[in-house]
Amino acid sequence: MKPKESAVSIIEVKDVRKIYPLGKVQVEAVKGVSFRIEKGDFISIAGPSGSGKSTILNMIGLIDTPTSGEVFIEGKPISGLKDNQLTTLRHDTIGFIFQSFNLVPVLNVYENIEFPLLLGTQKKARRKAADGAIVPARQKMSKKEKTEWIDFLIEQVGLTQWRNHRSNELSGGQRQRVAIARALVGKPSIVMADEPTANLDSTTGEQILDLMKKINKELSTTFIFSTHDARIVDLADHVILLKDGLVTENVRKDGAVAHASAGDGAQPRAEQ
Amino acid sequence: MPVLIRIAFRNMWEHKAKSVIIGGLLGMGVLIMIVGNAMVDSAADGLRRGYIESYTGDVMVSGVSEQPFSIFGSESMEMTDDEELPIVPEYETVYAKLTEDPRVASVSGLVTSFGLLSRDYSEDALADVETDSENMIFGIIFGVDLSTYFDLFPGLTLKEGSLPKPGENAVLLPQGIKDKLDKKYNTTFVPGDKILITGIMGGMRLREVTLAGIYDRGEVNENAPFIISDADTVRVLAGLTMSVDETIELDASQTSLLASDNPDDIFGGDLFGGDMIGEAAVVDTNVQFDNAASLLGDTSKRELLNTAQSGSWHFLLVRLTNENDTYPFIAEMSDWAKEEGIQARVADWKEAAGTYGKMADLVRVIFNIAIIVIAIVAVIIIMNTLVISIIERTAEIGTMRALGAKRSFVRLMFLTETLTQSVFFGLLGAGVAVVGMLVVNACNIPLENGFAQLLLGGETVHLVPSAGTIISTIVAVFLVGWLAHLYPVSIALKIQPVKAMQSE
Repeated sequence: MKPKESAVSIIEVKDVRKIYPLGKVQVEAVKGVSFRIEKGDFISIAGPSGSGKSTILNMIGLIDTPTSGEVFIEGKPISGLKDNQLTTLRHDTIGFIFQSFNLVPVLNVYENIEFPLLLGTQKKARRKAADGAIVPARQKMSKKEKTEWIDFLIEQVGLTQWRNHRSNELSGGQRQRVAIARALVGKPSIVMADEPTANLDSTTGEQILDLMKKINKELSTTFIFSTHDARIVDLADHVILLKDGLVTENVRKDGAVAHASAGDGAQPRAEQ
Repeated sequence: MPVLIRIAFRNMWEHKAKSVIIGGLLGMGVLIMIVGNAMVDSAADGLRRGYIESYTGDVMVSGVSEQPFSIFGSESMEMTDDEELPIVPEYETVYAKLTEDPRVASVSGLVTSFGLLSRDYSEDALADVETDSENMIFGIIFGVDLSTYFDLFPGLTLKEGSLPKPGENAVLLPQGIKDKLDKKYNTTFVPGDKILITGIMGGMRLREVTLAGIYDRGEVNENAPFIISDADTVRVLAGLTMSVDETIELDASQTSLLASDNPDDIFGGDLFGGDMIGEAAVVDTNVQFDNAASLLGDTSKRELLNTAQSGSWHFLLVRLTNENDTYPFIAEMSDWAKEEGIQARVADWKEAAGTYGKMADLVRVIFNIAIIVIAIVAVIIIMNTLVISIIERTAEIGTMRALGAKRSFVRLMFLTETLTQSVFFGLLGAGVAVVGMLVVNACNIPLENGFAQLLLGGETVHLVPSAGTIISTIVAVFLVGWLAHLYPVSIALKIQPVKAMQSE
């Protein structure tokens, strides 16, 4: 496999720590972690339960904030951003796939997928980046374009005949497909998936992974998984292994050098 | 926005039990408010019509007093000797001003007093007050200008007898009072019979009057104690009599006698000790009834105290051609009186009726207090139900936040859900209330009970739902919904996106 010589860092984590208060005790879930993720990566953050993988995923998904350290998204630091700015950035940049699917129960398949498009920023043709540069945002789609795009996604996840069904009428695998389509509807540059196969049987899990890999290749969407599913680790082209809140291994399978920042105790290496 | 309404309606349908609790409360509240207000409106309108058409007219003109009073007399709670009502100042000028106004349909004077009715003096009417208060026949006596009073209140009809003749001291009784007299004296009073009135306003005065007839005012309450009389009789009962102002000069011996502390100086030493009675002798046995009056000397001054001040009136009651002119007319008349330096009070029917006229307002206040209590309870119940709902939907809210929903979206979502529910069930309640009232009206349900007739302003149940009430009720329900959502939303806004990850 040809190494990515000029890979662009889409996410950078620098010496991130996360401490949770647990009664009178403070638990350090992440103990100073640094790594980079490149655009188009299909990356697995793996490790046993309690290793801190979900905590890291939450922080790079902008739904939690580090106690110390810095997370950069597309080169911009997120510390100091207000809740509304974080929300907008999250909406414009990241798609989420949850372990428990997290569909809105009163909406049908089409409406669930459409939901992120109704949350705000599509009206802006351009948005101001944190560094002040004007960057193109997702274009506002016409109603027809939107319908066609959602139907295309529904078709891609194989749910055309379930288009108007509510989530409680779908199987676990079907729900996760809806969640994938929903994560992709805003054409995000990053998709975060927290244990996406944990609640699925092995066949369905494999189908879902194949689908995500296909999207990763076709759309160059960066997929970041938090998992201890061996199949995902096998499928990933970049694996970060965690143990007790520390990175123990940071491996790229394509031969490129896995970038690490100061504070990361793990030795970055490239797998041949 | 459409997605919020969609989510709101579907959540309402999805959580039926919760919706039924909240909606039932709101719908019931709306129903009670609309029906209750219609009842209060009917009562207020009935009361207003009743008073204007039977007692007060559209406008009342009176004198000014520091004590509260109405056409039914003093309303002061203080037990003072000064219970006299003020008279209309510069009556002729005021009367002329009223009658020349083209908006005025009719004007009539009124004098008010109270009295106890009995058959004759031997019954000792005042003794009844202490010994037989249940059988005491009390009356509020309106002394009226008989030539105009019946024009002012065309609803008044004579059931029996005739109007008092000019100059005659006579009364018209309502059937209820006449029945009481019949019962008390075990007889049947007929026109022409004499009745004794003991005035109890501004000192005791007795007046013997003729029963001229029985009148009907269309009273809901047949025991209403309103007696119509000629004006002079009531003036005397009310103390509106000619006054005497004369200084009596005492000579030196009379002055020194009155200054003495010793009763013997005044009455002599053997006032009761001697055989005064035995020694008493008839000095002159030629006193006859015919010449007895001459023994009293000149009684003309005393007679003045029993002579009515003709031309004195407590009130001038006015009916207007168009009752919508009432308040502009009152304002103009008040300004005119002020300009002319006339200390007159110009007021509407409600002030003229005093406490009685404010009864509908009182009912409305009590009703509104009850509604406020219900609203507070509704807010608390809705709030608690919403809090439970938000706790149940923590993961959903977290997911929405993770997907890019701002706090404002979450706030709007719950506001939409609450208001959708409020409006939906509010309109449902309003619809049920209006349809219910229309059905009840169509049934023409008769009201036998006098209080119910008074309360609903008629002899059948007729409730008119007003657009204003419906709109204000919907606004109130909106307000309840808005208030109820504030605290739950504050909880929802604290839910972080990370909660999406913690759902199982």
